[in-house]
Amino acid sequence: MSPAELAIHIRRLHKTSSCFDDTSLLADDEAMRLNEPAKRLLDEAGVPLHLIPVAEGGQLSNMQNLMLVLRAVCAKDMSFGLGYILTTFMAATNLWIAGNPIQRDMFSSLLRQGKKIAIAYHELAHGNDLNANELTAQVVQGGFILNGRKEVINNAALASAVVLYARTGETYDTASHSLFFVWLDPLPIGCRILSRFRTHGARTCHITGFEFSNCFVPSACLMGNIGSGFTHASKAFQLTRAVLPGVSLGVVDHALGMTVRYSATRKLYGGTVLDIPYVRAVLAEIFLELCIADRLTRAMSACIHLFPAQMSVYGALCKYIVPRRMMHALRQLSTVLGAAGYVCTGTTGLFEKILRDYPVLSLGHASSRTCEAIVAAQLGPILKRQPSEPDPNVISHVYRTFEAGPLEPRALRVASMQADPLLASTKLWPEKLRERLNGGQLKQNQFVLLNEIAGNLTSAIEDLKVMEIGANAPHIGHIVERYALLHCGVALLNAWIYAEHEETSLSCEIVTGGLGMIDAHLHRRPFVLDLGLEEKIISHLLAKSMNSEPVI
Amino acid sequence: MNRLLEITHRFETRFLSPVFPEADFSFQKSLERDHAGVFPQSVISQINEWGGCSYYVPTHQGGRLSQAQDLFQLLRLMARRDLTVTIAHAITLLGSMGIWIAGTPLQKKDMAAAILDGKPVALGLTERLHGSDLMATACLATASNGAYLLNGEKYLINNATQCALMTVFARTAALGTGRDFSLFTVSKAELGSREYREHPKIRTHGVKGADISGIQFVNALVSETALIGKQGHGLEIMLKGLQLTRTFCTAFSSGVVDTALRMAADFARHRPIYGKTLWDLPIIKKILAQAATDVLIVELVSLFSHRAINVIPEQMSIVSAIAKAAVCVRAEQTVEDLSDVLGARSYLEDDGPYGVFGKLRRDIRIISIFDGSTVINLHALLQQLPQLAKFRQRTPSPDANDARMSELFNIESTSAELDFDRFRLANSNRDRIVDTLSGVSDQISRLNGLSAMVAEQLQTAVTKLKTKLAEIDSWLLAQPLSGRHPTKFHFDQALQYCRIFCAAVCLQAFIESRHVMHHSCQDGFWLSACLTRLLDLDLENPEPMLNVLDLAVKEGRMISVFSMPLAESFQDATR
Repeated sequence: MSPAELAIHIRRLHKTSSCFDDTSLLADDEAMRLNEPAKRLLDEAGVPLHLIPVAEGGQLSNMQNLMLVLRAVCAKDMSFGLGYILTTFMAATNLWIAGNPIQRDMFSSLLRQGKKIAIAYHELAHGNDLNANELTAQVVQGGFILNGRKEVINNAALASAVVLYARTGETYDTASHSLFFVWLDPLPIGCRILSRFRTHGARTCHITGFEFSNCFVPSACLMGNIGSGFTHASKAFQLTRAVLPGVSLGVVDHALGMTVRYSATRKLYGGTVLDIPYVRAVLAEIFLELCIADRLTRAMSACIHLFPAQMSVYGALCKYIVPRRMMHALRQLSTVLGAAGYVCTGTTGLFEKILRDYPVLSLGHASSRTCEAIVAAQLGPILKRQPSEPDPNVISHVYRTFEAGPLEPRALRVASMQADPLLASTKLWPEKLRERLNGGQLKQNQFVLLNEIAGNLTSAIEDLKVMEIGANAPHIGHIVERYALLHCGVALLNAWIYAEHEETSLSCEIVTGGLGMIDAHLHRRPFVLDLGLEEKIISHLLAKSMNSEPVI
Repeated sequence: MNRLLEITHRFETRFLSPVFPEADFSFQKSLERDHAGVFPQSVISQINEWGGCSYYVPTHQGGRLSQAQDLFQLLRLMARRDLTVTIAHAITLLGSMGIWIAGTPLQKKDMAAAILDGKPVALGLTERLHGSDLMATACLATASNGAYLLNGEKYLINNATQCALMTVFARTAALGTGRDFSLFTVSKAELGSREYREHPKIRTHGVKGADISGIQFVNALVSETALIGKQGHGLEIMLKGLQLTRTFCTAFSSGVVDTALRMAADFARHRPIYGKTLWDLPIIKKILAQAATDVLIVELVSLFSHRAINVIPEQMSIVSAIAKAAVCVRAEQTVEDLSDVLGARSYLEDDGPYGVFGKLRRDIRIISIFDGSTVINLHALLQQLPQLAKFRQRTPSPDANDARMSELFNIESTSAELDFDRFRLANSNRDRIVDTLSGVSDQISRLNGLSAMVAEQLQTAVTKLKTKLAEIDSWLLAQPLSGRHPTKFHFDQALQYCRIFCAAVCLQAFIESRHVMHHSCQDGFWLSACLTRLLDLDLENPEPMLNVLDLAVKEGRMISVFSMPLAESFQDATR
């Protein structure tokens, strides 16, 4: 199955298979158990093959396609998705970056057998401070001796192999650690699994850890060179940071659909909840947020291939802004649902689980705040560099449905060195908009409006370039937010300009509405959506949600 | 102030530090009960033995309730430990409110006796199909031979199965007016077993041990003497009661958010990272400083809204709506922001010192839902804002020295006893609290010992606040509410108004109560930070707020502008 077909198939399974029923998912959450029937269905559909590159006999063509498949997998239950495939995906990124052909072959073989692979970076004592991690791999004849612990590791007890980050040097710097691909089936002597952690959300995930005591692993386990662990990790994180936010949109889409259905049927104050203007405005705005996040994350996943050297900041940007906006959207939905969003039963019972599960996205490979700091550290130099002339052909590939591939890990960089190519693409806007006007895709009044908005965004970008951007300046958080919002605006407008012929393209009206919302966020003022557009969005939401179809 | 300290000392001495895992009213035990979904009966019994119920009964009925601020402190002392316990215990306060407002002397006497005897009282208000739409209430009370027959269901009712008594909101007419409803006190002991059925506990996102359940009445015979106030006055009594109970909810928020910040600060101080501690990282400083500012805003708005119950009860229709809308969401957001400080530990629920954080996150969400959601409170506020705006436009400089505002905001002044007869369904035509902004510049300039920098920051903030207020007033007068439902922009404007109210509270608190504030708050930097935050601007310098926070945590005090020592200060807390 192609990625698009697979996504459709998975969504069909969500509607037709009892193991994906709300009641069943809630029961799994309460019992803290894995959804084995769902795993079998998705294995049969060939989902794990989408983590194996085409060149290695799998189905993985590019990161955007992968993101869309994973989004479908997680659409009703991100906790299930995390346990079933997302953790294995995170492990996979390390294999793609640093695995040798034998290790990649072993990895593929495990995937084909429906096995899980864990990823063990995290130590409770050190969190995001990777260089301080203490688990040690001491060089000995023929291999390494492992000593130490990794905690809060998903699937440690269930995985057949693990990507392990271990200290091989004594210093506190970026050359002190190495990556290992360790076989766990059977568990090596001297390795034990820690007891299970109970968590606020993602309760179906089996989260434990490892303790190694004089555990020997052969040299063949080393991934890349000794001391290259941090470099590989930095690059692997760029991939997960760019892809996972886009994956998470499925479950927010689902929560929105659930809230629309509830609002349309719940009677209050002489009408339905959906008759209340405040509710309509909130739901319509969340739809716009989803559209924006969708366009941004599609673009970022395409940039992994097209602008790999930029991914250190692009990945962090994506993981900074998208979870923030989506958590805000979920909280807004909970104000519409009221008490219905607080109980664990009924047609909206899944909502409170979604609210608990969603933050797990920010626990793996850097929270929004950490990503804010990563962007902040690189933003000043990036904005000061003079960009090269934007190539419309390349830019169009960022914003269209991405069909190229494959991943070129060697093109990734630990830090972003170039000027921002996507912001540079705004130079093409006047010409592109005029082309659309002349080609009849834009009416005169729409052209005037879009031109004005484009002008505002371009000015805001220029303003950003002349700001004092020190990584520790008091307003740096505000500046990073502006930078991310500008990227959202660029993604939305470029998606319309370059991809308007596609099936999934957005209307000019929606793009104008979305850009208006971004403008309001940029200026920290309340946003008022045009009532005509609001009406159209609500109709769209009703049509989709009543058929349990995704809204984006 | 002494009253608050006395309650604090007695309560904290009795229940010990919540960090001690063995204590019943500890974080660890609260988490265990939460995981098991167990009703916290033993803690409730201990609170009763301590005399907690007496604070729910007015002094002239043999209890201790005369100053609402006492409830503020008690409720937040409970909530900082366990919101499940708090709502399971304090529901009696909510359930009995109607009797104090409109009951006969005999009804009050009986209710007082029941409460002082530890009998739980519930409030049967909402229904499965109608939620917060009270006008659609279907539970029927039909007059029958000098009594009433009660039929219908109440759903998502706190303590429905645990309670001995329930105040039930029922329909006694169907004329489509506000006089269609009446309130009754129903005693389960006086009902036959066929006259009611209990709906078992409903599983909830948070407060998992609470008894959120339901009750169905089936031809339940209820005597005439159970009617509270007059027939048809149920809605009026209920709305007045909600003015109090909404305010009490803000005390819950104040308690929970204090614990969340205390934990995050403690974690940050001790967590090594990148060769320093988490506390040293600029981004963490920013989060903690913002959170500390929010905790102070929450505290002050809650505290002075409670004091307003005694001092300006006729204004409580707007004060309670603003307080609930402003405080509860802010506290919720603060807890979410603090999860960034705790990182992975915000997600793990173990028996470590931070294991209860996830429970706080789940629990706090209920506060902005019950007793009138944020939207409902903003809607209620919007009905009245245009009148308040008109007053300000007609009277740009109202009374320069409003004696009642001095009494309200001077925490050392003891007000007249709580008078349940003075609550009004609608505010008089002015908002005395926000109106203090017109004279506050002069008040600031008369303050002694204020640095020029802080004075200037405060004056600049006041100017901005007044400008925003004038904009909101003009907009609201130009865009009257047409039809039944406001637009989202109306709600945004109402929220802005709430922020201005909060700013006015913080300013007056400093002006009138500065002399009893903790020494770290005498300089007014905290006030400047609060106003900055309420104006939706970034804090320039986090250090002053970090200092206030750090001292409060190290000294085992509530994170407050006042010095309120907790059990953490007079016992060694184990780490």
